Amino acid sequence: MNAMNFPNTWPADCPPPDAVDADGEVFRLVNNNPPAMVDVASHAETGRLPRAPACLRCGLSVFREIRDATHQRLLLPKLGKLIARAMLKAEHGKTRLTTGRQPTHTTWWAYESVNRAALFSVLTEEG
Amino acid sequence: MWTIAGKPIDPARFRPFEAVDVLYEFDGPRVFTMYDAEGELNLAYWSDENETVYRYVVVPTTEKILDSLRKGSLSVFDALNQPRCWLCDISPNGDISQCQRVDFEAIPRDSLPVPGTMLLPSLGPQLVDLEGRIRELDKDRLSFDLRDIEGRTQTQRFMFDAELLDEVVQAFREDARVRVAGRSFPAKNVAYALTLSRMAERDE
Repeated sequence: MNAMNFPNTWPADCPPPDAVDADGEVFRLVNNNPPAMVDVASHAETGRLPRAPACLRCGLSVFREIRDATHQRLLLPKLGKLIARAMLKAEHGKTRLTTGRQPTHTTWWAYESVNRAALFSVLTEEG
Repeated sequence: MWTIAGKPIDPARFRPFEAVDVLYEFDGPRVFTMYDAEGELNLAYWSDENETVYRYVVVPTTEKILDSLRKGSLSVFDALNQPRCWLCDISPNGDISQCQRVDFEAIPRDSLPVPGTMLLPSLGPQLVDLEGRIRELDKDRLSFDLRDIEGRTQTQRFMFDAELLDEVVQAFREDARVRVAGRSFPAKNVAYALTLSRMAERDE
């Protein structure tokens, strides 16, 4: 397993060419403290949303601002009770803003060797 | 997955269960509109899921309700709180496995948005902390404009509680620079002042 490779099961051109080296803070709702693999599994890994765009299914959705994660915890309580933060670096993969209606929504494609769960730490207690 | 009492209905009512307008998306549509078999507009909300099922709350809706949701004058909880309500379970491949008519009040609260939560974070109250001078004071409506705001050309309209009235009137009469902190509601173009303090005059 090469440290800077993406899984060979991913589609060609995934991540997309305009994805950039991972860099900076990201936030995501999780249910476990410390976060577990189940908290950071992509849809491709869980087999969910088979009709969604294949490359997006291989990435993990995160937010660039904690405000968006805080709001999401109120809007969709079952997505996760805790807000976790990770500090991404280039060695962790590629990211792209995939904003849609949420200005800081970002997709993160992690290199195959990256332990995604270990990069996150929980910021908030269950409330 | 939680269960509540309900009346099973023919899932065909909501086939093909496809989003028409996605209002909030995160790893797929979470809040969206859809049509039922009669062509009526419905609002669907992702409520919960497990390995085999996505569960959605589905309620009839109107363009007026959706407009209020988008503008931030109606919370998602209030948009979902309708006299008629269904729960639909969708399989990972998109097929409807079952739907049932339920009482909205019977849905577990942790499977619904927290009351007061708007569709997007930008639609909720934002903290404001501005310096300026009070103008256009309306003592009956307890409101004023804050002008001469540093770094801004626009004024900010504030509402305030009666307990701030004396301070506001005095600052207005003395044309004093004040610092006003509170919460703004972008969709309503107004802010609510929570505190007011005098500032030292700047050398012009």
